[in-house]
Amino acid sequence: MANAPDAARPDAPVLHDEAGSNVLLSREFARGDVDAALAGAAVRVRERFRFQRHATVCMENRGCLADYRAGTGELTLCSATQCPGLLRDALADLLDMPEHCIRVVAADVGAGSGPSLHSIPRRLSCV
Amino acid sequence: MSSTEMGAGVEELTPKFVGARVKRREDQRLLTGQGAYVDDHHPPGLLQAAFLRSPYAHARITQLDTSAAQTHEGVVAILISKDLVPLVKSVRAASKMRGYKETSFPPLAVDKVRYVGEALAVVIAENRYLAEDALDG
Repeated sequence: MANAPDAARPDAPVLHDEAGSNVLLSREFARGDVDAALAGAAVRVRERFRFQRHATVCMENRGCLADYRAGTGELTLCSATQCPGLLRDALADLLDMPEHCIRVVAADVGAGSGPSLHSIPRRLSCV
Repeated sequence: MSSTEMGAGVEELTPKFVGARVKRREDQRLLTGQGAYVDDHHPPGLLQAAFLRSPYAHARITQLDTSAAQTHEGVVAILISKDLVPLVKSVRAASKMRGYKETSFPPLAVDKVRYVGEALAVVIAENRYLAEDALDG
C-alpha cells in the first residue's frame, strides 16, 4: 500500500493493532448554511482536493549526543532540536527521570523547519 | 480580534517584519566556521551509533541475530527492542482531538516494522565506521 485511500479501506492490513484501523482521526468541518450558499451560488465547481504528505529535510540531520553520569544520575543531551524544553519534558517522562537531572542543549541547529521539534524515537535510542 | 473588541487602551498588533528589510546578524559567525553543531562536539570517550533499518514497509520480526556483529572490531554494545523496553517508554502520538486513536512508537521496532527505514537495532562502537561495518554483519 502506497497511498492513504488504500490504507483507509476496511480490508487493509492494520498497521497499529491497538488502533484497530489505519484511520486514526476523521473530522468534518462546516460553517454557516452550506446548502443555501451552494444553492445560491452563481458558479458551482466540483473537485476533489488532495494534500500531499508534508516532509521537510533539514541540512543538519537528527544527530544527538548523550552524556549520562551514572554517579549523579545526570543526563545531558546535545541535540539538533528546535525546542529543547519540550524535549527535556518528554525525556523525563519516557525515561522516568526527574526533570532537574536532565539538561537538553540545542546550540547551533542546522534548520528547524518544523520536523526538528518532534521528539523522535531515535533520540531515545541514543540516550 | 479587532481593536474595538479588545477595549480601550489596547493597541492592535501590527506586524513589524512583514515586508521589512531585516538585517541578518548571524551570518558572520556561521559563514566563518565558528558554528558548533552536534557533530562538532567530540568529548573524550565518545562512542558512536549506527542503526540497522528495515528494508520492508510492513513485516514481522521473526529473528534478530546479533552474534556475528558483536564480534566486530570496536563494537561496544548492540541493543535491540528487548534491551530497551524495560528502560524506556514508547513515544505516544497523543492528541486532545475527540475520537482520535493514539498509537505507540517504540525507540526500536517491537515485533514488527511499520515503515521502510524503521530502526531495528543500534550498534554502538568506537567510531561510526566500525559501527557501520558491524551493521553489514
